[in-house]
Amino acid sequence: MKMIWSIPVAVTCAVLASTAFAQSVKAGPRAEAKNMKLAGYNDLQARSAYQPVIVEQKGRWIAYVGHHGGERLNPMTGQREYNGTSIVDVTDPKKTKYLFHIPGEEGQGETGGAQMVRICSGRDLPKGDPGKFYMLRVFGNQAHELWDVTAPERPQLITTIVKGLKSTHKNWWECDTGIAYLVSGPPDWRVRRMTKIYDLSDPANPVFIRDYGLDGQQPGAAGQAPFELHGPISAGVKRNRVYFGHGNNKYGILQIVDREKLLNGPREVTRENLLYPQISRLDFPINSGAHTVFPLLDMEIADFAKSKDSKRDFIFVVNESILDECREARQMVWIVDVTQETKPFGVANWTVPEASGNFCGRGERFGAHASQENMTPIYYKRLMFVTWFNAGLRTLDIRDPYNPKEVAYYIPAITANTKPDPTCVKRRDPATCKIAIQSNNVEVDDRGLIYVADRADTGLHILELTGPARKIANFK
Amino acid sequence: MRINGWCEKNRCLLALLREKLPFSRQGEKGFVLWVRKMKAKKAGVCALVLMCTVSAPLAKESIPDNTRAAARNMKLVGYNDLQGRSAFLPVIVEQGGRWLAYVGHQGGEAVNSLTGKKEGNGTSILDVTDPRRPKYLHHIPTESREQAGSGGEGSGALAVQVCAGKDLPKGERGKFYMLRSVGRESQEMWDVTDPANPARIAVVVDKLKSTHVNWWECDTGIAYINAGLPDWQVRRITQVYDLSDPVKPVLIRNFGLPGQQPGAPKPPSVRWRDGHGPFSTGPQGNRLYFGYGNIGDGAFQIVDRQKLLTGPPEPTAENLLYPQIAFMSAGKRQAVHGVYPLLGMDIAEFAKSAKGRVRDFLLVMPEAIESECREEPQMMFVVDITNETEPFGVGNFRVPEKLGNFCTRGARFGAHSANTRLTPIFHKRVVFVAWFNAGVRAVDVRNPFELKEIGYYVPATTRNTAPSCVKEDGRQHCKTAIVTNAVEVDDRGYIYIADRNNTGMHILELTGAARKVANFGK
Repeated sequence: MKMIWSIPVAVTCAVLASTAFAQSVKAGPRAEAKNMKLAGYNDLQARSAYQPVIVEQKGRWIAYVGHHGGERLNPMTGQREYNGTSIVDVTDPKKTKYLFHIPGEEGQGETGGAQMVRICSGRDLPKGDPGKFYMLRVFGNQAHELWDVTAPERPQLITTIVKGLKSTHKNWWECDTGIAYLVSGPPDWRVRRMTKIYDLSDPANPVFIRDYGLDGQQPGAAGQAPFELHGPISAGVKRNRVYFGHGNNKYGILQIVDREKLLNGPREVTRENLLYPQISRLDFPINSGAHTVFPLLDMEIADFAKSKDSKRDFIFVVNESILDECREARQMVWIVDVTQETKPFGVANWTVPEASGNFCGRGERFGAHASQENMTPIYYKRLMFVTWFNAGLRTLDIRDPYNPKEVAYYIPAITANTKPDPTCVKRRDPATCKIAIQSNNVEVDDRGLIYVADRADTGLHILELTGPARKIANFK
Repeated sequence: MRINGWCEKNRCLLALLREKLPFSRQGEKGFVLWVRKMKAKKAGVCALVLMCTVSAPLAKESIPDNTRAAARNMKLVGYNDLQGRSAFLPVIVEQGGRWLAYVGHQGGEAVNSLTGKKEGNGTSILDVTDPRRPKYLHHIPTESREQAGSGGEGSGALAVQVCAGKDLPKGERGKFYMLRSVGRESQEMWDVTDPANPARIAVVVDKLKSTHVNWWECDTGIAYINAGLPDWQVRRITQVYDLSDPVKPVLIRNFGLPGQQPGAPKPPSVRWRDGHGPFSTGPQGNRLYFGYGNIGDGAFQIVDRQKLLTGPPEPTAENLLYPQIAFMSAGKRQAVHGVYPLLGMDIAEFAKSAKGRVRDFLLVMPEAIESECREEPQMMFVVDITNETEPFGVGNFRVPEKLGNFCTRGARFGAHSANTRLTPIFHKRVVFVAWFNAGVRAVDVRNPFELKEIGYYVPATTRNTAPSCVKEDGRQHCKTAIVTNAVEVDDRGYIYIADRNNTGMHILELTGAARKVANFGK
């Protein structure tokens, strides 16, 4: 365990190493910040991190972090373990406590690890044990697993939901219904990733519902297949919508789906059945992907108050930068008006100005990747947090979605753990590859703390808003 | 102006000043009195405060004063009252060393001060060589007297285009030709070589049901005429004419959206998508951008010009689709009135990115049609058309309502149309958009992903300005506000705006920081 005390903005971080499990970490260059400050830190055993999820669990706050592939020493076991899932007690963000590492699949980057993780409480799940907590995670690209994490320091595998896959990715699990949308690569589909829908209302007894994807991705279809799925976000039973984002730094597609028709419609994989629940599909410009598609529904636009119809629905779309040193088109944020669902229309965009930090020259990736997915009323429809790789975490005021404005940012300092971009190392003399922060994914908890996970092994930074940006949030 | 910049920056301070000063208890009247007193003194900061008050709205609660102009980085150079006629489109042409403004009017009638007679609104011709002293030369009347201001689309002679004979393939060198709409019925060709004595030389087409904005390519003579034909199933379509010889019009084809053609089944979404006039990039660009619909459910279309002109002309669904590259709905809330292409934009922000640096865009303008915001907000959208077959909305521009309480000022509030002249002074740098009661807005378009307003001018109303009336709960109330209807620029960099509610034509120029965005050379 290591600690970084909460410090004033733009002051060099003081790194205080402590327990027997810690390796020494040198303070890197300064963190850069505006209206955000560091509230805590954990180095995650220097594992490349993807998805953080933070849950209140019987009075404790537990962070589950999915890792990309790699192999690191677990100081708690003294063993080198393939990157899997980190479980960290963040009840006191100033004193984060690493509880357990569940190893993942062998392999580097997206070929191994256990990048995705979701948690549901047994009292929310229709057939869960009310005293238990359940973790859904991927095992590399092969399988989806269910774990009992009621005691987070002693997670127990309950069952493997499905295995023999070619790929996995960003799942969604509805805790109130148990329906899970598992991003999967069955061998017979024409794309690397599609959705396997399961009923996990009883976590020990997964029930397969159907395979789903865009028409053209299914086995036997003809022509160019639409680009692979990235991940869905469900608006749940009430709104009856599931939003699917496809593509990474290219071929982005937003698909709006009728949830009820998706779950109860004819399941056989035919063109007709795949199209049946589809309400609409919006194809992005060739050079833009759609990594996260986060719904912002029933937004009241203050400036429209005197006009007819001031309420609108939007999807906040985040592209994924996948190439280092700007060797691609800029990956950024798009806001799509879906008030008229059958005719989604892009209305706004946002990017970090490159010149504000010479980010193309800093090394590694520069561009958008993911937003938070927790809809806590502290931030929902007010602030969006977007990871921007070497530009750290960017905080946007989206109360007027036609005009997103940056109100805060935090770029963590690199540490001795931070590694260069793997493609740069392959492409040229590694000594010439610059090392930069790679803020990969972000999540917020119901206390309003913000968690940023680093792809380049820098760990997990816990942040809080300060100043005018904090006033935009709804802290009661 | 520097002062206006100062006002913008110090808006809060000004609002505070206004609240804290002793006259605040006397309300708006007290403030105005104080302002007048200060005006007399012309004293330092107070004068600054005063000028800001005049030129920019202050606190949220301030009651907009429509009788005062409001401006930022734009100033009035000259003015003509256009005989108090409702005006639509101004077109400015250099003609034998003189600069002439041709202004198409919407319906109505007024006394022509040159003849002393009451004439149905038609076309105003002005000499604007000296923009400070525009000289009214001639009014070509029409019989169309239906009013525009009272809600009807008065169609005096709203569309006007001018070509020089030296540009037209079969025109007579030394001559100038004007194509204009007449009421809802016809399109005429005029010889305006002597602009004080225009002469009608041909009727291009008559017996129409409706007319609207036309586009005439001077270098080829091809004209895209907005016309209502009795057998088509929509109010307005496009008639493509070869007017390379202005006195011998040749119809090439009729064009509209599939479903609008005679005999087609009539889907309701198509019925409302009447044509609003195209923007042509000519034989070189080989593209036409069409806007459709003015009461919501708008759409735009990208068309291959060559295929349009040489493709099979019979109006079948197949033939109408043949030249279409892309069609995009703007949704049921948004009309599409005008479109303005920004092609080959080199985006400085993406200079270091390996891909996606040079892009094509289309600005899509709606049309606000209801007074006092009794409709969905009508804003301008930016659509990325780099991949032409998959247009994608990337941004928007709108005038924040709260900046001027535009919804309570009276008349329409919202975008209507942009300049269409592509002078290198402004093209790919500044686009001017007519925003009805918010006047004209100067928009920096150098990065279409992030449009920025850099200037505006909202003229003062005059005695001529017609009120805009609204019926609410059976009772009518009227407010008098500016209704900036259309805007055009000339090759000298002057900006011309025309008022729908009879306020006339204002000639403007950019000042301060906004002027630096334009390319006036050395």
